Amino acid sequence: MRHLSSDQILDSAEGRGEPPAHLASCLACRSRVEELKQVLALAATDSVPEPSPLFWNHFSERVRDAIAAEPAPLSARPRFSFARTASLAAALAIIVIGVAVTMRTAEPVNSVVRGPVGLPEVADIGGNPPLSPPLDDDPTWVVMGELASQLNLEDATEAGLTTGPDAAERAIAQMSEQEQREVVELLQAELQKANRL
Amino acid sequence: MATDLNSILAQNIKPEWTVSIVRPEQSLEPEDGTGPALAELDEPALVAACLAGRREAFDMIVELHRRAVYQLCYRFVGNHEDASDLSQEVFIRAFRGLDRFRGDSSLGTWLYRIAVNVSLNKVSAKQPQTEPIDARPHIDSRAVDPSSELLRGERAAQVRAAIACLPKKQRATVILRIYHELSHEEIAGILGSSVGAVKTNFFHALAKLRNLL
Repeated sequence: MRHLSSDQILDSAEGRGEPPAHLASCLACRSRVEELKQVLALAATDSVPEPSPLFWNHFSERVRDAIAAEPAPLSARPRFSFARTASLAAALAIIVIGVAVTMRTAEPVNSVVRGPVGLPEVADIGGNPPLSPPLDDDPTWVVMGELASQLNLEDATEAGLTTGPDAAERAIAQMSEQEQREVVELLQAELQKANRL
Repeated sequence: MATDLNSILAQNIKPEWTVSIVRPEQSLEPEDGTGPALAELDEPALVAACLAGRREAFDMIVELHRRAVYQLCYRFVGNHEDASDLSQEVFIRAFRGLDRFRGDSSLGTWLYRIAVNVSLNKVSAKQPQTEPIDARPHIDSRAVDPSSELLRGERAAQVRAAIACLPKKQRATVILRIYHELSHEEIAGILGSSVGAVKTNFFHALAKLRNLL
C-alpha cells in the first residue's frame, strides 16, 4: 500500500481539495493528517496583542515625518531625458541665434506693423527699404526656423521652458564658464559684423 | 566674464526680444488642485499618485496596511517596540522603492515581502524578545475563567516560542500561511521560492511544531 505524500497530507490537513480515498483505509496517514490539523488549530489560537488605538495615529505621524525627510520617489524626480535635453539645447540655440539676429539689425527699421514678441518688426511698405536682407533669404532665420520646427512644445513645456520677462540672462547664468565664453565670443563676432554693415 | 556678458546684453538686446526660462517648482499637488480624492483611489492609483509627487497618497497606503504590517513584524520579533520600529522601517523602504512596485502582486503582498526581509534581518541579528507578561493587553478577569485564560496564555506563549525556534524560511512560511492566510503561491512570491518548496517547508515546520508543543 502506498501512503500519502507530504503534499497530500498537508492538503488534507488544510482541507484543500477532495480528501484522497486512501485516507479512509489508512490509519497511519489519517493520524498524520489529524496531527497536523491539531498543530494548525493550536497555532491559530495565538493572536497578536492589539496596540492602543492612539498608537496608530502616532505611528502614521512617525512614518510621515520619516518620509518627509526622504527624497521624492524616483518617478517624481525629473530624470535625464534625451528629448528634453535636445529640446533644451534647441531652445538655447534659438535664444543665441535670436540675440545674434537682433544685433545684426544695427539700424532701426521704420515700422508700422509689429510682430509678436520675439519677432522682428516688419518694415513699412511705403517707408525706407530695410537695411537687412529679406528675412526669407536670411540663412540665420532658416536655421532658426529649422530648430524651432524640431522643438517639441510639450517637451519644452515639461522641461520648464516658458517665455517670460527675464531675458536670456537666466539661461546664460546656468551655462558653464566655457559655454558663457563661447556665447560672448559669438555675440562679439555678431556685433563686429553689425558694425561693419 | 559675467560683467562682459551683462554689458553686452544690456546694450544690445531690446526688451521685447528677451526670453526667460522659468523652471516651475516640483508640484506636490495636481496642477489644477482638484485631483481626485485619495480615499476614492484604488491601490495602483494611490501608488501612481504617490509617484507623481502626492506624498499624502502614501499616508493612505500606510493607513491601509499598517495593522497587517505591524502584526507580521510582531510575529517575528515578539514585542511591541521592535514591531513598531520594524513597521516604520518597512514603510520607509516601501516609499524609497515605490517606483519598483510593478503591480504584479497586490500592494499588500509587496509590503509583506519587505516586512519579511526586514524582520528576518532583525531576528538574524538579535534573538526575539517576547513581550513581558505585564505588557500584554489587559483582559477583564470577571468575564472569563481565570484558569482557562491562564492556560490559553501559556499555550500562546508556547506556540510563539516554538515558532521562534523554526528556521527562518519555515518560520516565515508558518506566519504568512497561518496568521496572514496567504496562499502557497503568494508565499512563494514573497520568499522567492517555488510553490513546492513552500509546501515542503510548511509541512516540515508543522511537523517540528508538533514535536515542540
